[in-house]
Amino acid sequence: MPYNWNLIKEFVITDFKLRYNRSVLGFFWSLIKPLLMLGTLYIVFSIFFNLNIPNYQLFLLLGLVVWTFFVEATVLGTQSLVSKGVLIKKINFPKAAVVLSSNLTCLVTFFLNLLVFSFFFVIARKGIGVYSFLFIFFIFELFLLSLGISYLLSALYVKYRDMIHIWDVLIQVGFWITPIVYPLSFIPENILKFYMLNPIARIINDSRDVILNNTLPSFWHLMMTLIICTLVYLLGITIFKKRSREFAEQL
Amino acid sequence: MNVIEIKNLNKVFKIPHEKRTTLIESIIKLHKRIKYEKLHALKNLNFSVKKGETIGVIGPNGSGKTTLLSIIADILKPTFGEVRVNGKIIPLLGLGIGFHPELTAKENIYLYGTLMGFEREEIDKKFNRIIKFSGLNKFIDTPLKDLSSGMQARLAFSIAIQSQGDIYLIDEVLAVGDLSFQKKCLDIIRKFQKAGKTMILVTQGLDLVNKLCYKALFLHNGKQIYFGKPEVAIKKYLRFSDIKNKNITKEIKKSIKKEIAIEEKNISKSPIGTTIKKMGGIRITNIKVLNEKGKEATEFRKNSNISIKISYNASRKIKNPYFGVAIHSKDGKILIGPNTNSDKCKIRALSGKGYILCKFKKLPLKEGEYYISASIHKKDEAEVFDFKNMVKKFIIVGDKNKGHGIVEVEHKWKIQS
Repeated sequence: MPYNWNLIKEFVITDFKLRYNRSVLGFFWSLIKPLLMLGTLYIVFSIFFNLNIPNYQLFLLLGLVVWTFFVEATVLGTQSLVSKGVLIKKINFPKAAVVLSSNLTCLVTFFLNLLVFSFFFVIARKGIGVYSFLFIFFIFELFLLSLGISYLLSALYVKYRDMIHIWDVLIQVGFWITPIVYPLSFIPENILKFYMLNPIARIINDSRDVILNNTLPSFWHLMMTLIICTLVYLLGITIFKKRSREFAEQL
Repeated sequence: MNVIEIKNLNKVFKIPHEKRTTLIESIIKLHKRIKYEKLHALKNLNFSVKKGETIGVIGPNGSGKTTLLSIIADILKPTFGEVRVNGKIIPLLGLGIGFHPELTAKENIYLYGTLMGFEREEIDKKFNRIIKFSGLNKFIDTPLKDLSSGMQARLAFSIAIQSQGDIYLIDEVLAVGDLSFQKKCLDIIRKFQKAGKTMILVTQGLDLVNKLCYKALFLHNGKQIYFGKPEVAIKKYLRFSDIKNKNITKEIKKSIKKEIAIEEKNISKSPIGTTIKKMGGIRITNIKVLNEKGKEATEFRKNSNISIKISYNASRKIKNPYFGVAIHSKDGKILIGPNTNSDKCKIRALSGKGYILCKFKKLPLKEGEYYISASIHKKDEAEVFDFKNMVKKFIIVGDKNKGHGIVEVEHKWKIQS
């Protein structure tokens, strides 16, 4: 639908303009947050805990960039419907466009953050993995996952206004049950199966494997990740579609 | 061709007694059923709009006008009933809704235009026209927050009218601009009318309805009170809202008077003079014609006993009122018109509900149709609490009428030669 994409494009452009307030500095401000986090975590874990991981800064940064996107996309996605509430009440347009565009805006920021990662990557003078192209596939999975969760939570948030707080708490927990600051090898073998049900853990670990470790995850492992992300997406979009009839009334 | 068809449309909003807005609450109180207050916002609406018609929707605040437009625009869903729409709808249910205050006027034109369904290239083409129509040439690069609300509305309207729709839903949006802009808007509406566009205007500007609309819909508490001639709808609205023609122009007053005159010409003058100003306070709620047994009837035999029962409802204490009743012939002439005052039947004070009976013994009316009026007055006849003119009809049946005249009284002939 051309109308749909036009609208999404316009929403993304608007969001982006507003976020960076039409200044170059605005973009640098948006980088400060992950970089500050990187600095803090790097100091804590590489110096105090003395994790012996080669290129820990790259290891950590890659995890953080992926995780930051996931958090931003789902939080902004959840709030997107409510923040465009007046619009939904007065104009009839495809509501999914609102959520999709909020996630796309975050995707743009994600790519900018990846540029920063590449910068560090080049500085480290590390050879790039042969399977790195698979990272594009992981980004697709990541986006699918975030979008699915955004659809689900935004639809619920219209009615249940504590949804965003509940999700906030889950994210706090999620940060520590996802291999962001520590490697997967820290997880005891007996709980690894359950641990790996977390799709974001799979995506981060696989990304590190192809980019930093130059190893190829098994085909079935990759398929499994795709299946989990697709299921989350389908669940989200189904509930969203079912509830979207009521949005104008409930907002 | 009908472009909008509405059949038995109902909209019920469910408003929960205690609002559970959090998931935690909903889970904790899962076993308790939520009690809802039902708000019947639209009740059994039935009407259709033909292509090219301009329809005015009037009624007090909260009567369901905006809800109706939202349903036609497919923003809200009907609870039950049918809404059929043929053609592309452009809803203007609040101008400047998609605007962002931090963006410039130019950027907002693109954003709002896209929301209205334009492609970017289309907006490029129409950009100059939009700016010209809005009259905001100087403010293209000004952030919208620095423009006045009237200017913002003008900008929004200017964009909206560029869209190519078949049906325009316009909700109270014409009232915002200044005089010159309002004139521009009227010109545009007339242009749309010529181009055969269908429009639905929700407005409190009764003048506008009178001037522009082919038909008007009067809603009150979600009910469709009237759909048809704009003058009649306006008249009914004015009667309902009990305002004494404060905000309407002479033009409407004239047309309303004309309308009332036509209505009253058909049924002749009232028994107590030409112009009647009802004071209210006590209302005639019902008039019944009763037979000898005290049962309501419409057919009577000649010379039977007939009672007329006038039910009233006084909202406050009414001192020394008097009642009048009249029986009219078909052409409006008063045949019999007694009142409690001249009959020396004193009523001290009334309050609440009640009724009064007027009994006619052996009514000598000839065969035919008759009509009843009733009134409640204060002291002198010029002050009327309520008056119902020829609202009830009854028939006298019997043998063939003998001789001429309107009444038949017992009589005998005596001849002397």
